Amino acid sequence: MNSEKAPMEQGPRDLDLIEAFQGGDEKAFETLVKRYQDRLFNMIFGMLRNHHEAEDVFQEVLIKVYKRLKDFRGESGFFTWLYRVGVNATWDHLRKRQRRPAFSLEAAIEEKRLSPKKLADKAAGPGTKAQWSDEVALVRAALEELNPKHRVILVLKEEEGLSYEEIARVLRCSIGTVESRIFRAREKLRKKLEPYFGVSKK
Amino acid sequence: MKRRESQKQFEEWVQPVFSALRQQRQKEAVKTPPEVWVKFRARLEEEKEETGWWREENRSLGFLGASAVGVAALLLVLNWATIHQEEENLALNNFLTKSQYGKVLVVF
Repeated sequence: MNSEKAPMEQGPRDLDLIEAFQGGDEKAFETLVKRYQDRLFNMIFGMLRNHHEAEDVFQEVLIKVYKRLKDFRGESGFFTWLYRVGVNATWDHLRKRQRRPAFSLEAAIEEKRLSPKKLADKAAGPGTKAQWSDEVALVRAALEELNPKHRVILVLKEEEGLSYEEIARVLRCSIGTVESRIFRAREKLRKKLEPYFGVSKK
Repeated sequence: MKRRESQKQFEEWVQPVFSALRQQRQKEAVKTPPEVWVKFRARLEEEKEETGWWREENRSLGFLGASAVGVAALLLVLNWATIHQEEENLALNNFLTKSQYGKVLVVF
């Protein structure tokens, strides 16, 4: 994972803390994970958009990491490994709740009283693009309706700002797979949002 | 052609939306609630108690230790039998002499 994006290590190195934990020092576990907890929590929250569920999944991740850290061999950096466990747990959670999305595109449209005409008028008006709040709400709702595989990869790319290489490392797949999955996910998103873009140009 | 046009329009539209989304995410960034650690510790204790995965691990270690002791004991017994069988060749053929065996047995 990009060292600029991973929080900097302060104090003992990650590997030293891992060795200490593997040797029975329980406190080393908290010191280690707390270094990265905010980044991890925000990624989970960003995918789920629900504080309560994000806390539950975060807990799940802590338990998994605690159990598996004994076998950690340092083949990838600790942060990448932790992030991967987090992405997988969130993915599992999304799959379970797939049939009941927290937001729907329809609800967002209704709530914001959006219409293709409204967006077109807004786009044509002066300085109206400054906020983008309607469009952001629309894209968020459309992302919510994608299947977990497509949603996770688009959130990692577009919201988390990860590069193709970083996503490949987190998901343990090739860059080619990441590229094609992102392409397919964007296509799904495009189809969902088709009535709402491009109208400004007409 | 229509699809390509639609893709182009979508990309032009969605790129600034995505960057607005990213900015919004950064503004919304939350701190991890401290209570998750309290709950984690409680849940960890619970899991250790209920599922016994922790005890399982300790049990496997205990099993390994007991096996090692068992093998060592078997070797000593075999050696003891050999000592009695071939008393003449005692010092040459066995990895422990009778007196050494006595010492090991005491330590064991």
